[in-house]
Amino acid sequence: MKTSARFHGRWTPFALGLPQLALIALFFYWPTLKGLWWSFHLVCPFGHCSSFVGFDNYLRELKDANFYASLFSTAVFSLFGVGASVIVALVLAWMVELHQRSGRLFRYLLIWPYAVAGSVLGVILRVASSPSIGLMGYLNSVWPGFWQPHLNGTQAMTMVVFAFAWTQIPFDFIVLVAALRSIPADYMAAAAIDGAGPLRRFIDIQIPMIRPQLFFVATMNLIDSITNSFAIVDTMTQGGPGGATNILAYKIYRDGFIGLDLSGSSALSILLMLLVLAASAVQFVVFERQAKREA
Amino acid sequence: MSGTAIQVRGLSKRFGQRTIMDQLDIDFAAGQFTVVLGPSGCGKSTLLRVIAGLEEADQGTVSIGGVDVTRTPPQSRGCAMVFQNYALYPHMSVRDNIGYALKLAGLERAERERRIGEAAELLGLRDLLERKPAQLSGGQRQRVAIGRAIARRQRVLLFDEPLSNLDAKLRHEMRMELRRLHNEIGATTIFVTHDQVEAMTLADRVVLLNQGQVEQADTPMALYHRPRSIFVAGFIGTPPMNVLTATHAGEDVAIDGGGTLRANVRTDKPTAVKIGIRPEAVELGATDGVAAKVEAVEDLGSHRVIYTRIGQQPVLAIDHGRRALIPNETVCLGFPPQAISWFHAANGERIEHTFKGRQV
Repeated sequence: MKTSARFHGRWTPFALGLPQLALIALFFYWPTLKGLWWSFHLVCPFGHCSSFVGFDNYLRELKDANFYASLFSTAVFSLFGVGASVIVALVLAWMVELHQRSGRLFRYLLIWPYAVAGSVLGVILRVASSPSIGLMGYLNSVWPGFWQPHLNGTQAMTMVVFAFAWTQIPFDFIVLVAALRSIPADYMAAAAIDGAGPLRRFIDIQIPMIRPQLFFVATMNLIDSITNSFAIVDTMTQGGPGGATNILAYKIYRDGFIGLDLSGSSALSILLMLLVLAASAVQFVVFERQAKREA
Repeated sequence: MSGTAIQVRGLSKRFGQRTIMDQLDIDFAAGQFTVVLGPSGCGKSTLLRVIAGLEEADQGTVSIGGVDVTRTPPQSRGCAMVFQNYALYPHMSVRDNIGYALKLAGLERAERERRIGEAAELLGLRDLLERKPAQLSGGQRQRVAIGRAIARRQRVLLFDEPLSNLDAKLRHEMRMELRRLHNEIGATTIFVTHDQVEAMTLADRVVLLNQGQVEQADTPMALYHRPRSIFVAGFIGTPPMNVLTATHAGEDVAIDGGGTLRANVRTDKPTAVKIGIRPEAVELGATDGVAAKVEAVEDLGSHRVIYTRIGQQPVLAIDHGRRALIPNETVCLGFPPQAISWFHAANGERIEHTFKGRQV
């Protein structure tokens, strides 16, 4: 490896990397450190004064029933969000692979939604799921009270799960299509000769063979559902009704910026970070083991 | 278990602009071991995949046991197949690999176990049943792939170059084993290969394909001794048949750039021909023959391969004698008339000479 052969002196490469490093430091490391600092202090509403309180902020959050309610919402949201994303993406990928001829077109069409930003999608779905206009408005006029996401917590959760799945499916779809395509054709041929129809081949051969990729997209979805679901909740439900969709990522924002509890919010975000770290660690360990087994 | 006949009629297959085969007709007799032989790209694997239903024919029909299966999906054709890279399911144990088709066929557990046991016994896989394919050697994987195919007791067994990933010694062992298995099972077997040794040793009948057309379909010995074209003559045999450009006039055959042979057939007007003779039929140091210059000698212990030239035309001879030969030495090569195959110079097809009531 001649990593530094082209650069003379040690400062040139550093200078080249500086803009990127500065951005990361300013918008990632600095807030993280600030959050860590705040989580151990009691901070004034606008952050200009503080006093050290040790783990009090954490203990306060861990004793708060709202925290557990939010954790539960997050768990429900993540579970159904990830499940729906992976399953729908898997079925779509399978169907596209099954029909090689028309599959090409659908492959491109199904990747497109990946380019839509979360908040834009939130607005679109907010209109689409409005109880007073469109399809849902019509259904409500037929069966009054059929669709009330602003009153019914389950319906609100269904709505944000649907929206979340919508954002994840294109990515999952790309990965899973690639995974299915990477299965050597002879395995499928052998299974067909063995008497397996398309569905049996899918269940017995394809799914077991793309298990690593399934696990990969599930973990990515899980991390996204914990950290990146703020925009969806903010545009669609603002955590309501009655905190039914007040998932952790949204609670952090609300406690900090609306409730002005910077300390508690910081403690929460550190807890969230630990959660994501744990998920990443599990993924890492599993992949290592897999790589070792295949080697 | 006995086999079933397979008929291929008017089969055409194109991949994009490339025509793989055009209007191909082949019959595979019930219970016979047929080897489909040909150089790479001749369409032999495509033919096999069309029969298995893995590839759709553009035109033509395939029938198995008198039933037209052209539109039948592979899982319903009643074929078992062994793939070149074995295609063992990597996530299943050997037992499950062999048992998968049996399970799909709806066999009871006890019957499944019995058949898995039988196949394992036949192929010496008894101790490997719980292993995953990744824990097996190439030869063991090959056996499992064959076990998977035979455990189902299908009437048709298809092999797609199954031995090409094995080393020479294993290949030889597997050849013997396959022949033994075929004698026991008796299924109609189609075996695709580019290796003429496999074709010669395994086949009841060899179909030699060239560019999607049947060059010759006959017993291995017929292909060897009576090749129907120069292509067949050159493809079968190691080293292949010598083919010399010559002019046939009267009873004389004048080899271009060299001497003249006496033939046992006569022609009234001089014709350009090609004559073929197997290296082992060439008589080294004959008293009546054609002068040739020795270029090189390969001594293989059991025999020697002598590389010579008559004029510009190379002639190989297989010699069992011990006489010393040195490069550039001139030797006399004898061409026994009854060992000569005659071909048209223009299209390379065999000329059948009839004389004294007997074909040459």
